[in-house]
Amino acid sequence: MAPSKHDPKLTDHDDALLAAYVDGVGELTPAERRAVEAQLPARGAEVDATRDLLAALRDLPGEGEEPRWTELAARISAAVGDRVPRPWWRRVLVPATAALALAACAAVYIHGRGGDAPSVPEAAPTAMNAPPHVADAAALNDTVWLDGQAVELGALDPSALADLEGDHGDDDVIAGALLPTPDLAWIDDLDAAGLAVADRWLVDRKGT
Amino acid sequence: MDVSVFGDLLRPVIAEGDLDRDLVARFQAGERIAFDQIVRRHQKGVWRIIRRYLRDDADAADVTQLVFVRAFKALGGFRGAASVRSWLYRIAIHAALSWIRDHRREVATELDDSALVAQAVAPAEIDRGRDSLRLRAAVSELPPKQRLVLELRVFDDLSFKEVAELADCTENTAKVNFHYAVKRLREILGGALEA
Repeated sequence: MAPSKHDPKLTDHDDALLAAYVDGVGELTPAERRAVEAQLPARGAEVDATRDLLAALRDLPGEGEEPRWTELAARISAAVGDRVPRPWWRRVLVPATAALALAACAAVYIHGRGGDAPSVPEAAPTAMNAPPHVADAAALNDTVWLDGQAVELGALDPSALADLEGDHGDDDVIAGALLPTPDLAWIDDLDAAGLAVADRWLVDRKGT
Repeated sequence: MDVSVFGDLLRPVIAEGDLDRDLVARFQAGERIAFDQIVRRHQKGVWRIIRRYLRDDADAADVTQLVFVRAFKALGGFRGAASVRSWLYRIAIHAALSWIRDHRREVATELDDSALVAQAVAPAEIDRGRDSLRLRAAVSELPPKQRLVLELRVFDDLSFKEVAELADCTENTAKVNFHYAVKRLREILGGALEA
């Protein structure tokens, strides 16, 4: 049995979708379509009358005399000009973004330079603790790293240099055990026989 | 659910909308000529809507130009929430109503004149012509909201979604208003069309 207009399952909303169904079934939701289609058998005459009325309305001749579209388009084109306007927020946003980017770059640059500048008072202890390096070639002309200390060559006492040259640490102890280094001048006075004796002494010494 | 049944019905609407969106994107990217294409696509529809309000051809053309000048200035900020067509038609309706407000006395006089012309012409028209006059008169008797929905749907071929955007209501409300507009028209006309 076809549902009547007073079917309790149908709402007023469903009842009022008939014209929309007749005019554009594709624009109804599946639920709306099912609801209307359930009423169709009982509303056949209304469907036909609605269809006829909509067709008559669409057949109405247009009101007034249409302008010449090409001329109107040309008028509009001339009125608006050639330059594409940008909305206010784009006019503001682009310069603002550029300014922010510039400010960010400047901040990074300043921060980078600022990181070096305060290190001036700390440079001395840092240099003292750090191992010597060859990056500062100019500094090597004046300063050397010696026994854990930066030594200014220009300001150094020559006697201190002599002391430094005589201090060879453990290596000198080993050398002293092999040869009497303070008495090396006698080698120059040896003749051939003396050199032969010295060679034999060295061979014997190595053998022991 | 078999949506393929509706595919062919919906495809032209979707394709038109895609073309409009493409034109807007090109315009927003700086391509000025894209706006000329938008004008050519929509100037007729805009003019028809305005003409229904103003009842004067030349004034409708002037206001149509005004609508597109406004659209040109605002199109850069168009976000695509509504279709380009319904966006333009909304500008058109507002422009037409503003024009009527600014030229109220002139419009009243011209409307009286046009009514006289219509009545004078009617006896010489064939039955179809008389039916047309009756139909238009019946449409003009509809409540404003129902009339707007019916005209946008029938004369401007808008989807219910677009009608809803222009009428500031939900799509369902647009469908229901459309139904009651048709029902009311049938009551006004009675058997006139069949006679």
